[in-house]
Amino acid sequence: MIVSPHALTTSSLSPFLEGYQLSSGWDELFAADGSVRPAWQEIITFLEQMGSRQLESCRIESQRLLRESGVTHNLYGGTKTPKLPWELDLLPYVITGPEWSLLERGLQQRIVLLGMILTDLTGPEKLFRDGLLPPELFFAHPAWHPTWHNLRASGAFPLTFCAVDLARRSDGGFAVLADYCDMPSGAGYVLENRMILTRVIPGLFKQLNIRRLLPFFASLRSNLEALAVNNPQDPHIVMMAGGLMKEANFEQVFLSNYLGLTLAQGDDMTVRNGRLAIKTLDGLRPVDVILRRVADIDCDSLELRGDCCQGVTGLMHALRRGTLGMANAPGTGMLENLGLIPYLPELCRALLGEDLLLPSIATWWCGDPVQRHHVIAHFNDMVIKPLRPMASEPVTVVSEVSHAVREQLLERIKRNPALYVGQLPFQPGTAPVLSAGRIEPKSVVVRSFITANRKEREVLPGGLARFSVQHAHSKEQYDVSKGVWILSDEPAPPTPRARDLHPIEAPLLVGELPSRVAENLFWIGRYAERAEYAIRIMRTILLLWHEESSLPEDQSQQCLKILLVTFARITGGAPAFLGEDAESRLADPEETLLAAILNADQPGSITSMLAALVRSTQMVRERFSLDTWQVIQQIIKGLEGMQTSRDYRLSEIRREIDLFITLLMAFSGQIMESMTQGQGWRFLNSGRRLERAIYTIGLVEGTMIKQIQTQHENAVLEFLLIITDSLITFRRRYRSRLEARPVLDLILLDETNPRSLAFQIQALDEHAAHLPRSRRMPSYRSPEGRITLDALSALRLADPQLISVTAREEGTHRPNLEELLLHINGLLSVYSATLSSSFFQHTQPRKQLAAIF
Amino acid sequence: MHYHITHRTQYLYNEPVSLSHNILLLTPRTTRFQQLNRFETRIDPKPSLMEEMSDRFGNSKRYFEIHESHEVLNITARSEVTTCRRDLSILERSMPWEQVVRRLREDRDAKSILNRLFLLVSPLAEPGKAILDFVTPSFPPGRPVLEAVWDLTGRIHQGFRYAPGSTEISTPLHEVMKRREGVCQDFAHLQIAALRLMGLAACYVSGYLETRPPPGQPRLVGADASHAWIAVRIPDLGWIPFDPTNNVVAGESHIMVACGRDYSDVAPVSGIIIGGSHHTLEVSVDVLPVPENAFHGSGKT
Repeated sequence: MIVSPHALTTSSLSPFLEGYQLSSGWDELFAADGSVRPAWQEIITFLEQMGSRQLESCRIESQRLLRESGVTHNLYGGTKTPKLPWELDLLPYVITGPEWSLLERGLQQRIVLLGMILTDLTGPEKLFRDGLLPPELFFAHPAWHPTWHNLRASGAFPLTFCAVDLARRSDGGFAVLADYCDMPSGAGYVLENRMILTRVIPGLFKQLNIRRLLPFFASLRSNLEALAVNNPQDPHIVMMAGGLMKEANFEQVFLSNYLGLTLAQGDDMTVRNGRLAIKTLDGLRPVDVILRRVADIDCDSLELRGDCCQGVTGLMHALRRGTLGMANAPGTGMLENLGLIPYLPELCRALLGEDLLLPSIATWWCGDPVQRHHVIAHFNDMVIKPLRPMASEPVTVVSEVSHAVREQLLERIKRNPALYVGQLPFQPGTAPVLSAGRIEPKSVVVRSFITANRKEREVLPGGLARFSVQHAHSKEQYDVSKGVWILSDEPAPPTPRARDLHPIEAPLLVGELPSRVAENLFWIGRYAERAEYAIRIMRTILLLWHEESSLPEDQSQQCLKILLVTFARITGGAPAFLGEDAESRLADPEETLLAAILNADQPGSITSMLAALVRSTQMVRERFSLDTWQVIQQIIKGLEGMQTSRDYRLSEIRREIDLFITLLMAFSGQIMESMTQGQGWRFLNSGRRLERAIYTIGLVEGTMIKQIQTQHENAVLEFLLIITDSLITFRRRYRSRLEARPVLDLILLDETNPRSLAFQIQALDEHAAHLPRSRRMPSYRSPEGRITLDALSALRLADPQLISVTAREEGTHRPNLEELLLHINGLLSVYSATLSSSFFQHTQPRKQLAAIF
Repeated sequence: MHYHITHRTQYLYNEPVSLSHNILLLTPRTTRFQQLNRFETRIDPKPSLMEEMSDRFGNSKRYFEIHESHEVLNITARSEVTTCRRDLSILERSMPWEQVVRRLREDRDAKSILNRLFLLVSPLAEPGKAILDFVTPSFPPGRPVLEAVWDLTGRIHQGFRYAPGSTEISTPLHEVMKRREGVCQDFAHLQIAALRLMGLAACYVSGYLETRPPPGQPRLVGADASHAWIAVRIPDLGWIPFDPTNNVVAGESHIMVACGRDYSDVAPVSGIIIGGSHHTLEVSVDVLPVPENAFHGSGKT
């Protein structure tokens, strides 16, 4: 049916609504008779006043905001495959107050019921013995494990935080599609979406009375605190991240920051004497409560699945001893169980003495002979799903597959009936969505979130609605999200800010930096500097290649060659300049240079360095401010732009390269100006100083020792000063001809020049003095400090005249300089190794002991 | 019979191990047919923490952590156990297997319901067509269940070669079916998978076997290491143990340590280490029968 509702035909929105095609199911916007539903009337009026043009610009604005805050499904994916941004539809999914209270009660009842079931399943197993649940429903479930049995000593409610997927049936009532009890995701997106929509269409928020999200998160935080057995006054709560490649990474960062939780991976933690602790630079700090984002069955390779490295060895025993609170309790994986659906109504009556308020869609569990017969008798009408709804296992719509596939499926069901359920096909009700210039109906699933403790449960007044859209260029489907708005009849209380959520914590003490984070920050410093330095050399190379210097042709050619070889040596990004065919490559360097810039798979190429920087920042994203993060987003955008337009010419690439220099400078500016100068900052800066020192040594070696050509030296010196950004200083200070001695003085020995070698070493020495040292003798220099002092003394004692002297004999052209640089280079590699072994060694891999029969 | 059992496990690492978390399952159980009189473990280096717990199957486990750097880990478990004879006449009077299959599913007493766990597939006892073909001839319609299981035990004993070292934990059952050889754990897994395919409840039993032969009888296989056999659950009778490796009903000379769905539930030593690079493992088991009078004599004058 094509709707052309009379009320809207003359409105400014009518072009948007043209062709809004209703199916036979429920639609949020229009009732069956074509009238706008009450919940939508005010919104439609508002949108009409806005007009279609402004609506479109709001849509673009919201996409921009999303992009800038870096909301993506998968932050890791590298820069090669453009990732799917988490798209957000401008139109909300609206639920009225009275409808909401019904739904709210249903969800509260559901979490209580599921919690009681889990408590029984992991303990007395009375539900099996009383015949209320068939044991195979759980014994055969992939997440069943003998370890769950009587694991937890405490009587805490096992489900602190759950999610439920809901959809409208054709009669308008809500039905449950699936429960997510093990590690529910999406709440972070709910917050992000709400923040963006509030910014983009503030007027609508003011006009409608929309329920606030914040109180829910305050309750979630206090429910987590209540799980602490040790240290209940001020528990240390950690969100155990599900690995950085998992698609929910963004959300984990966002939610942990919002709730004031420490974000840590399994590897960041350890169990000592049966107590969970996080590894920090100053040693182990006990953890009191875990919010788990790792599947229960993957939490501990000692007692559970041995092939997974996401967990913490000994975690189950820490739980068993009662020293640790965990949300949600392990065993929750078994509740993600479609076969439970047919048993819920009776369980609800038996356990709560009430009728089940929220129905599910009709489901038959094949593990029960009667239900299996039903599924097989109506096989062609069925959708067959695995017991645990997982993306990795297929859902089969029987009527859509071939006879052979059908027979195979039947065979599998007969062999392992407990692992399958049959459901009738279900089309969720539709809601209006705004896509390029049109409003159209799409089937929408709504995810709700619930938090609970022993006495109370609270439902998030909002949620994450999703619909599928086909990708423009491929057949792949991807999800677009919608905000869920609950209309309230009471005026909204003033919005508290996130920081009111929990008392502001004491500032992180020195030494509380997790080792993994320290290591990442160190490498961020190194990658950022490495990329910047490499680009600076490349920029000078391009200048020469374009013959824009004032030098005579042959001199310019010689300088270019020297720089190309130096670049290849330091970065490793252009091996062709050093290989057998080097002469011809150096004579015609364009192809090699393009690869050294663009080929992200070529180690040492400029894009590979930038990609490494981006990846490292993503791994400790929670450490950077939003502004810093926006700079990273610009770098990602720049990289993606370079990857997509394949056929660059060298002449076109300079602008892009200059842009990266600007962005990298902005990044370091942010670090200097916005990052607290604690330990993290010191590690990042040590990385940067170390890298700049190494590159400066490489550059001087490449240009002034290895390939010296007296007749071109002046020209080379000038480029050396350009690359090290020291030309202006040189001219002002020395007002002299370019000579080796003052140049070496300025870029190696001058401790006031922020680009000199001595400056870097001096800075490293200062950082070394401030590294955490509780594990060491306090009154002596740290091992790192001794190394930097050695290097610094060597530089301070160096005589500029002596090191610039050239030797007569062949081979080494500046023996004193070479000796000095070799000495310092050696010290720097010892420094790096010492730093890693002092602070980063925690990241050793774990191994499973062999066993024999 | 009285036994003194010493079970030694040694891990040799070629680089120091800085941290080690472990679980032991070496404590023999006390059941209707055996009693644990004494048990102790010695671990070197000394653990920083050692705690006892019991698992879902009623086995007794020990968790320990070693924090000091070490290149050798020695675990010695000593047990003193008294076992008693079983009445083998039950073998001759059991109900038809089909009836057992039905009752295992229909009996409503708590034990029967919870033991339905042992009807299901488990990680290391993966069923397959080859196993189904193998087991079927032992189960003609109406055959008394214990006679059928006994027949299957004998056919595994005859049809498979006992070949120490021929398989590892990771060797899948279908591979064992193809090779027709294996060790006691493989035969146990095979029989468990086969019995479950027929709809029966079967569990894996780990333990020790007295290896000194009685005069005039051949030495039983399974010396110098842990042994494994199976038990099948018969309504009204309980769990009846069979040893397919030796083609006997497990009796007085079988000392049970633990039971579970399969080996993965009852590994004697498991651990996760940091460091260590490569390691080698050595295990030895001594089962020493102690004469009755000597045993009792120790407490009397």
